[in-house]
Amino acid sequence: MIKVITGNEAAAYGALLCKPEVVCAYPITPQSRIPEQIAEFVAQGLFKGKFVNVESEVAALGYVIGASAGGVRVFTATSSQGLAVMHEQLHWAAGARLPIVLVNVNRPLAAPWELTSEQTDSLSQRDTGWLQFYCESNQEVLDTIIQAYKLAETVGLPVMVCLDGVYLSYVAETVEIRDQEAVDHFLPPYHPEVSSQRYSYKIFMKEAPAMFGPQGYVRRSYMADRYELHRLHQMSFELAERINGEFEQMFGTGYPLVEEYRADDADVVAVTSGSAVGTARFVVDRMREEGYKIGLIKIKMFRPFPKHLIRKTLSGRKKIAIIERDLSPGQCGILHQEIRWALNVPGQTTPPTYGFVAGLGGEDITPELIKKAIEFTMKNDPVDQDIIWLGLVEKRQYDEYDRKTLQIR
Amino acid sequence: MYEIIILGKGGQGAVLAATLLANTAAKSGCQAQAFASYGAERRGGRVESYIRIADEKILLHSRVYRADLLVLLDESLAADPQLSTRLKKGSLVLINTRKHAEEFSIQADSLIVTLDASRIALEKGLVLPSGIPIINTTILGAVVALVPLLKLACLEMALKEGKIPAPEKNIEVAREAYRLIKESPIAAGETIAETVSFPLLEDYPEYRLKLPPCTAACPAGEDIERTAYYIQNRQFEEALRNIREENPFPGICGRVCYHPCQAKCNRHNFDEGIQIRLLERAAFDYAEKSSEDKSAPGLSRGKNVAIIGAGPAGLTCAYYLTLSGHRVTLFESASEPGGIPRWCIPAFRLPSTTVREEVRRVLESGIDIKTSTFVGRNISFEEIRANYQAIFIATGAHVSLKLGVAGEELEGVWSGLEFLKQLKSGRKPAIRDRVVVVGGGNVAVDAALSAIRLGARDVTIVCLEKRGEMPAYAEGIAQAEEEGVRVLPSRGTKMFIGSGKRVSGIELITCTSVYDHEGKFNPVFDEKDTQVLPADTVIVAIGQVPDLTFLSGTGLKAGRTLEVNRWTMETAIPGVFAGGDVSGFSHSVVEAIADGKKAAISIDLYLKGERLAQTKSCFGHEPLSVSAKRYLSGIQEDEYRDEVVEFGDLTLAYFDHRPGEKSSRLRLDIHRQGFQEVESGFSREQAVSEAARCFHCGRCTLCENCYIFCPDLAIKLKEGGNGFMIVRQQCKVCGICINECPRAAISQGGKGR
Repeated sequence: MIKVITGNEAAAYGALLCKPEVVCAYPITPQSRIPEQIAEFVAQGLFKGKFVNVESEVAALGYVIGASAGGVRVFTATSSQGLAVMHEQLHWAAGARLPIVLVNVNRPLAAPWELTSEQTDSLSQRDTGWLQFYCESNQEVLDTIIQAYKLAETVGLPVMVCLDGVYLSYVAETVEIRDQEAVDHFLPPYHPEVSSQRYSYKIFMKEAPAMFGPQGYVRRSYMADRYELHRLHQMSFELAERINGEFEQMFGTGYPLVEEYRADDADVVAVTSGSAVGTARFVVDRMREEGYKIGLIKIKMFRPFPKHLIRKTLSGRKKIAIIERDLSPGQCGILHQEIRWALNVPGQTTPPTYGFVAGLGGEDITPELIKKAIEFTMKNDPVDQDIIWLGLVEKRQYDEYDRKTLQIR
Repeated sequence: MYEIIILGKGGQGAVLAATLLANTAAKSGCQAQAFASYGAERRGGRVESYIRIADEKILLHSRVYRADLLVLLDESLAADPQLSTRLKKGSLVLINTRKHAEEFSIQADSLIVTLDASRIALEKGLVLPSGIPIINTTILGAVVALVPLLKLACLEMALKEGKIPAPEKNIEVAREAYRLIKESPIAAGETIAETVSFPLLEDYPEYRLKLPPCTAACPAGEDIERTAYYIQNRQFEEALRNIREENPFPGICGRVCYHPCQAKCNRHNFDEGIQIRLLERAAFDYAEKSSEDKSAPGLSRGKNVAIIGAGPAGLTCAYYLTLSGHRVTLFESASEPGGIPRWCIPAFRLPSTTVREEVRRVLESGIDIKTSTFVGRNISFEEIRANYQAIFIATGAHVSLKLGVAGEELEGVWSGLEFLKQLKSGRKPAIRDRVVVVGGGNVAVDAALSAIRLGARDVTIVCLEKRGEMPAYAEGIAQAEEEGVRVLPSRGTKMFIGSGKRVSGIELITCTSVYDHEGKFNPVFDEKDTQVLPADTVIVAIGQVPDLTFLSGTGLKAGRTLEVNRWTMETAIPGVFAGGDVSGFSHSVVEAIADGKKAAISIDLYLKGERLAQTKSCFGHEPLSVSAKRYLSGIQEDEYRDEVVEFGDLTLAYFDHRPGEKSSRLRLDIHRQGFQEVESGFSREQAVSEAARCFHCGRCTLCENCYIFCPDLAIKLKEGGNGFMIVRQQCKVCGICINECPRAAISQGGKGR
């Protein structure tokens, strides 16, 4: 069934199709429509699971952690401040190997307040142990959620599906709502007893345990646990590719974890993720028409970082323009760091990378801006600059700030 | 790819419109994308939404910066000088407005199409509870008509599936807009230079003064709300000055007015109405008299006007004529001016000192008065006519009606007026122990109460009317009974019985009905049902009529009373006006005052060569009161809108229940004994407290509710701080201020309430 729906609504449909038994999500702009839509599904009798209202995101993630530990499929969603407040429990969920699927609508973190679009919120949680995917379109959001459950329940790790606030969450597009039977076939019911290997503790015991909580120090197993966690991440990579293949076979659409678009003979390759990918495709097409050899690399999977694929597509490139909607202050853009790490192959030179930071605080990454970045890359030698600021409206030199002009009203 | 930008104010439905449009496009077989751009929730009011329509999948996830079609849901957005930066060459601009397209200039090569979507939505009843039209779906009909890719049938489907309330109505308005655009020259493909216009109501909220029902009910049109406002702020002097702008006798009215205003007070539907009469009394009692300003206007117009009769009507007329700059001469037959208040209303209701003080104050403004001058005896009417450019006759009604029964000439039978006048002259009428008062009106009640105070042991009132039909004020009847007066209703007088030359009894017959089926006075008696009351004093108070003998030969038609135009106070003779009791329709002090004021304005206009009847609505409000304040200050009619605030217009959530203050009276045993004032009125604190209960219907009191509730910070204080104003660029016409104003001081513009 085709519907014209927003990214948030697509996420809600994705969750509905996967039939979680417990949904617990606290509303936050720009995600609120997700729990709202699921609540409407409850009212319409379409959603048969339990929809729980709680008082904050801490409670929300806590609730689904508990439910998931009890052996049922769960769903939650949040954004920026909410994700930040969940931080402690994000670590917990991954450490406890709970196959939770969380949809994060990317929004800038305060201060200052902005309710729009930026990926720093989820990217800065990259160390929590969650798998992370970034979606380019509303269709991809819906489809990725279905794939995420299969991946999470296969590998036993929580998965974060990310979509840009405003540019996907509020944008209505044509989306095919997958057929429920087909989804049921692709994603069988969740029965924890038949899930894959666990390490160091047992969960889903036949009787309720007196206490639940993996202990590390008593048995000196923490480091081993982390060793396994990392290994599971490395495994997820192939698993994700396999699952994507199955999905493509069943539904006709697939999403490469790292996708090349018209990049074969490109002089400059732009690299980006999220909603900007669509806009970048548009720019690549236009510039190709004008005769420029430009290509695009889309990063869909961010954790585990698909090092091999990145090396495969980016090694030996002439110029790489990374355009990202995030910032790690004091260093550079996060994608830029990760890519340079991936491209650091002993015995090979790393291709020149141009690290553009754009779209912070919800600034629009327009076709003109992407074109500007690519043209800059084409015209200039590699710059010794950690960040090339793209679309910055105002530059403020803080050492020039006159404190005497501070006024209190 | 076709790109559309919709600009609107939050609440106009720009976002939903974009979603519906994308759905329409999808159903029409296109690829579509729609999204909204908000500020932080509720900041300013402006919302933009974007739509893209194409054949291939739309990859762009970025805002639309320049559109093929720009839609302005609100015409105020057209004033943005940066709008031209949002348009592609040769694009279309669709504006919801009543104005013509020529009145807008946005970009030279854009085609402007205007549509009065508000009117269409209003006509179909598609409105928010506050009455503001919902226009987004109407606009969608127009958009579909302008964009060839889109189909109307698909829009209708999208509306049906869109989970919006009243989808049929929305389909209707969309169809209507579609039809209008399709029938226009643009759609017919004829000429691009011509623009199409269809007529937006000016529906921004506005602060507009309305009439509180108390003012509408007051014959003198006093600004009662302002009086309460001043008293609430302990400004008794300002309160008194405010009253005097419409009524020069607050001291008198504050004691004896029959307060038609109180019955209409909106608060009496809530808990208890405001005791307005007592507030007026408090203003008079507590204002510092030394701080009164004695307005001595320049005698610029300098015409001479004669007023016959210095009662409330005559004195009021003199007062306002003097304020208008004329020279007034009063002719008063009694030794002192004041009319009924001075000569007839008993001192225990209205002390003579109060009357004297009020009258003196009025006369001080430069009015010439000739007392003990009886027109028709000491000076003729013709002589006055010869020497004055206008005349106001306000001689009142001082001739007591007679019963016409046997024994009326016996000693001890008084007329009510005569009895009361003797008392007020400082004399003690010789009455005896058993007093019967014949009559059911205020004179009868006053006579009975006076008789008690003169020491009569047994006082009875007999009247034709049933108890509930008695024309006397209920408060007076209640006081009489409290003081021991017996009331025998439904009884007529057959005859008086004498013992020697003096009356000793009164034979009564039962009256079965007073008024006939046409409402005319036509009493019917049961001859068989009679009784005899012993009585050594009888006071007959069955009505008064004017003495019009001084007008014989003038050609003025005179029945019992003088024929007067109720609105203009004109008589049949140009330049001769009349009002008050002499006219037969104004029987209370306040109505006489109202007549005097109306006459003053009427005379001033006459002396300028105009007529009150011909001026626009006469600065007054229904039913027949005129505002001297407006007339003298020259405020034009349009600045006031005389809509009366009804109880249903108020938002009661912001008022607390509080019963009225109880004014004090003398103890019963004390006040029976003498002629001192029975009622003491409110204390200062009580007056302030009672005034604070006033709702201030239709008048802004700067309570700041609108200011606090406005989600868009679109309300701010006016320069000078004497009120609030709407900042239209910010206002999205959500109507919250209109709903939250406790007292209906804000209304929707245009004809909205």
